[in-house]
Amino acid sequence: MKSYLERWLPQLLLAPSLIVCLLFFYGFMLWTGWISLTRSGMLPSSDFVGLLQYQRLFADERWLGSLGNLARFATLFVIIPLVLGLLLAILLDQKLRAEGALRLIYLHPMALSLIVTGTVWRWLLDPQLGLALGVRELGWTSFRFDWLGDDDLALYTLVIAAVWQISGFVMAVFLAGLRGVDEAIVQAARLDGAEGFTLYRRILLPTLGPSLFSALLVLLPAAIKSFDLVVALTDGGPGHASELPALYMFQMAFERSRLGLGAASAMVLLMMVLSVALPYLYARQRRQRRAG
Amino acid sequence: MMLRRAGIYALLALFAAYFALPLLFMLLNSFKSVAELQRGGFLGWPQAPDLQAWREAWAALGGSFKNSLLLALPVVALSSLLAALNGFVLCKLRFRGSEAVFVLLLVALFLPIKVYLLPLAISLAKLGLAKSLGVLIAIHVIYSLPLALFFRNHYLGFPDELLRAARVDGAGFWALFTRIVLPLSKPVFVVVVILQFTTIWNEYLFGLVFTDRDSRPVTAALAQLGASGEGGVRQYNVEMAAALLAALPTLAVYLLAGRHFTRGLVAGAVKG
Amino acid sequence: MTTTGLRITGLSKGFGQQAVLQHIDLDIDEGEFLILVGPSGCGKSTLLNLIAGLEQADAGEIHIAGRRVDWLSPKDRDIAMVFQNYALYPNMTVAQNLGFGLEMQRWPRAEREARVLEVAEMLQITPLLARRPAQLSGGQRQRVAMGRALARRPKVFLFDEPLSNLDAKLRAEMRAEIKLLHQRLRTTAVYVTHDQVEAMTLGHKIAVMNNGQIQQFGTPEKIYHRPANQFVAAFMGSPAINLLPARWLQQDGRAVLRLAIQGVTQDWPVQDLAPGGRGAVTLGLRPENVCPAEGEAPPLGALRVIAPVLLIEPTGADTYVVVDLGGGQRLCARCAGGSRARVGVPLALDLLPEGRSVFDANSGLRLN
Repeated sequence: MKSYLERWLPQLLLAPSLIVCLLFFYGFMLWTGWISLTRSGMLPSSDFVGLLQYQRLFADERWLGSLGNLARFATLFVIIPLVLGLLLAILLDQKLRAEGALRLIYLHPMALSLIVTGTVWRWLLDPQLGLALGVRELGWTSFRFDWLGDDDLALYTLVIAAVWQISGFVMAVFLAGLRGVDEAIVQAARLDGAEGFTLYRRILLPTLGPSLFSALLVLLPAAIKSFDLVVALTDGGPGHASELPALYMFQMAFERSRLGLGAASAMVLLMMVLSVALPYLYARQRRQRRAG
Repeated sequence: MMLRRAGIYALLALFAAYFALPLLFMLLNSFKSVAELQRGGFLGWPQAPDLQAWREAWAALGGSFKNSLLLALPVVALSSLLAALNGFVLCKLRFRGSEAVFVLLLVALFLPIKVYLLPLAISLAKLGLAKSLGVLIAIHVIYSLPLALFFRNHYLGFPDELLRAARVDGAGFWALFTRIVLPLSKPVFVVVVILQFTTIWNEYLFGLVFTDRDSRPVTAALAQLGASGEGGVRQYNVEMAAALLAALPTLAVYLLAGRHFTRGLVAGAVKG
Repeated sequence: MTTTGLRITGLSKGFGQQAVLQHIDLDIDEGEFLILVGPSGCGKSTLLNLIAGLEQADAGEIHIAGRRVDWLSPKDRDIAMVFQNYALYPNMTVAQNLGFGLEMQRWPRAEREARVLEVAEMLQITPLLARRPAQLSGGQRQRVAMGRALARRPKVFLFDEPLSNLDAKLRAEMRAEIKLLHQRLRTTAVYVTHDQVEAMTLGHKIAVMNNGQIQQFGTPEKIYHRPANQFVAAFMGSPAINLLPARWLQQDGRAVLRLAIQGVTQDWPVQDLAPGGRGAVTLGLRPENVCPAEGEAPPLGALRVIAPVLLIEPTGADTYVVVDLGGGQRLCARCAGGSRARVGVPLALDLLPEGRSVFDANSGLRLN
């Protein structure tokens, strides 16, 4: 019989972290949910009001606008990096000498804070002093690029910057996937006569399913959580034209002192992320159970 | 064949321009004066390179730079050691409920911590805790708990025989962990430390909310700098210098240990 | 009666529904070398882990040097273990590896270093003390693994298939070294292996295991010459024992074994079976008890058969000849090197009564 301490050692060691995890991850989730069901304004209140805050939320033009923005942003934020990342991965898979340097260049934006990225692109896309100026210097004097000031187009500046930030990562995932294919299979295919384009289309790309999944698993939640970039690049502007839900949540909760509304928007954000994460986790558990 | 190679290189160069030019232009233009920027000097070398922008940037960001260091280093040290311990226990000390704990952590990994801003802020107010680096450090360590999954994944491949030999040799848990497991965890530690450092250094929201002006990290200061420029003539040269300053540590880490970084990112995304 | 080296009574262990060990009883004297041998999955490694304290039994008792240990953790049982993959600590030097157990026992540094040197001398690995395991060859690592176990002067040595990862030549060398070491140190040892040659050459006592049970426990001679059941007979000995189906009959008041050789029945009178019995049996004959026929008549008690040769396997010193008995049966005989057997040609063989085993065809248990 082991000593009492020995038997319970694992649980003892994990207990503090587990308690903290339950409290700060899950307990707070429930608490936020609770707040979203109360009349909380500037201060938390305990008047239960059911789904009132949610009703207010979805009656708010600004919130609906941010959701629409998110839909457009997320679509592009997922599709463009996937295509670009895949293209770059295929190109880099050609065993080039400059691969190391190129990878460094493509991936370095990931090391940057989104505030930095936002600041950089804020300048680059500045109508007077940014890239537009550079193009005008080159001779095309009538060139204009004023997306930042345009109600309809400001959102897409976010896309430009975000794609710049994340495409390298998607490329890395796909490249790892391509490189992970058993060399023997590639050789067998080559012997069978598959080459170049065909080799990729028929043999290599189909194996990238898991890589695609992984990339999506990162891209979708990242899009939903986008906050820092918006703050630094457009601050939601002009007006609220490029506002995303996370920014709305922050402003409602902290600057507008509408805690209940902020909490409701936070819960909606949470639901959105979970709707991506939970299916993945469930499928994973089922796969484990079947394999194990 | 040669044409194809050339075509591939051309495409790659094009994209390399897209990715590399922003920072390069930033660097270039941070050495120009505001006047020069306004006069239309986007492309082209600085005519009279001066460090004024950099001096101003450091004046604005210097303090917060130190704050970020004081924040990142303790968080990285604490959270990675804790994660190693938790990951190891979860993986090698089989016990009832270890699967449940694993799932709890895995789900937690996905939860967007921004949504916890509200309860955290309220708790802080209720507990009467003032905004400070200490509070921020604690918050970051707490929300880094899912990091344990990295280590758990790594320890799955750790040879059980080694652990049995140590048990037979009479090593208790701590001796086992510190003398044998940790020294052999260097690869995964490198990945985790780089990832954690980058994440913490680059984090904005919590850094903004849970510190005051004196203790805020560099991301908050940079955002403040950018916001303060609205309305008037934006001093982009200062902003560029400041942005580069803020980016320097993580960029340096990336340049020095980038391979491990990418491997860690990709491994983190392709969670086993 | 000597202080019992190791005594195990009624040990059982199951994993969920599976019973991995069923009611194991073992008793060896201090200084004896016990081999646990059997096919994969027979439970021998589990038994070793239970003795070591790395796993807990569901029922039963374990006594080491007269002391009951089954509730003690490994470090309190005064045992040491040598692992199949050596399990050397990669981040430590050889010297540190050797001394780790002593460190855990809080030996003062000077004594620890002295002991490490002593052990290194014994195993001739002194020049390797400053190296790391990654820099050592397989044989050297094995010595370090043994040294680590030796350093603590335990009451019982446990070996978990330590030689399986070595090539044949190295294995033979290390086998001899282990035997010499044991003769010198006289510490009780339990050695797990699936290699029955190792079992025969190394052990004082062998426990042949299958399906979580001990099939037979005894000296190598007993196990080889008088296997308790068909499994033991078939498992031990290389080349494998010949197993032929036969009928046990009474004829004219005498017991005979009726065999079918090339479609013709032959009766073999036997003396060592219980009187009056009958039934389906399996006859066990080792190749060395099947010899090429010499002389006009077979020796007393032997049975002469003639069968066509199927295969000839020369191994240098001996030649093994396999003949076809018909009906899918084969018989392997050990002939002297330079046998004049030829494939396809009928060969006369004498089946000797020495070392003959008769097993019940259903239960596999020994009858004679």
